[in-house]
Amino acid sequence: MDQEEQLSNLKERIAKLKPVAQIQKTRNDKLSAFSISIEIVAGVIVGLITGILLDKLFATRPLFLIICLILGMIASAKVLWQKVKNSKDDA
Amino acid sequence: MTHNPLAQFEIKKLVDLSLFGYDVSLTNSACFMIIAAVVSLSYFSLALKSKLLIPSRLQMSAELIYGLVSDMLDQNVGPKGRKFVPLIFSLFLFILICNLLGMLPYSFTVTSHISITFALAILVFFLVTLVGFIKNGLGFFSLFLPKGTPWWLAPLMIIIELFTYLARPVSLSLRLAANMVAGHVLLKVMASFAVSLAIYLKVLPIPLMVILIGFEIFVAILQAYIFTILSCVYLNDAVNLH
Repeated sequence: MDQEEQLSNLKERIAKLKPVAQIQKTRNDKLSAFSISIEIVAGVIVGLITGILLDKLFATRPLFLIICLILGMIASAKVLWQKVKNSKDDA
Repeated sequence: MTHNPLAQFEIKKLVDLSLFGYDVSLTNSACFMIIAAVVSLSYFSLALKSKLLIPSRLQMSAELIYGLVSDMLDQNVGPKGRKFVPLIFSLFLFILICNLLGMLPYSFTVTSHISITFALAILVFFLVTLVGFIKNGLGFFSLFLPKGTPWWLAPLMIIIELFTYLARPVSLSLRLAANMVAGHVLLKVMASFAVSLAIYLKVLPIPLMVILIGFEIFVAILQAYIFTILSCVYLNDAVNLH
């Protein structure tokens, strides 16, 4: 069997298997309890760090800390809301 | 006989080195990162040494991993994402090998430290920001303003979107590190229970441990996959703006 023949044989077999591969394409973007907690913590950490840095810059402790913490919490809530919406669309 | 479940994450110095007053000692963490790099390099050079038309099993496994990553980029970013295959591929492979090396007895789990996962995540973050600005110019800022926002809400929305954007590397790194730490601590605690449980349950705890270790290997692969797929999703934001 020369290479040309081998290649055409291979192409046929690939074409046969293609529909099977198509089915396996599912998005793996699920909403678990672990990821919910991580998102909440991440938003709060970012708010905390930005708040502390801004307070150091302007010497206005604890004004920016409070504002940025609240904004960080809102941001993490927004991320979660988007995730829930996405998982609802998939189902 | 007390076992501290967190003792396995301790960083120890193997070789003391100092350069220009900085401590650059070879720690067990650095050692395992080097091992991971060597393992992945030698695996691929061995698997792709003889490029056969009909691949051998080893070559097949290497091509499978490559196919997984390139498919991931095709699905999430599209044809413009082909350029990023080398980066995403090496990122996936490094995290995967590090996670799997951590499952070996007496080894060290590199990805259980936030300092390492955060370094990887901040790399992706800066790359995405840079690519966004290079591809879209100042139009990249429109990422921070969702469509259909009323004008009086725009300043608040921009700040909130900026915070969600900044939270990405934090959540990306925390997810990987927390998963690895949680899994290894659970494994250690269960294993120390298994010794005393053997008095009452005889050999029953041992198959349980096998199942747990199997689950932990699954988590190791899944977390590497999630890290890379989220990097792809973030890249998609920068490459195809809206």
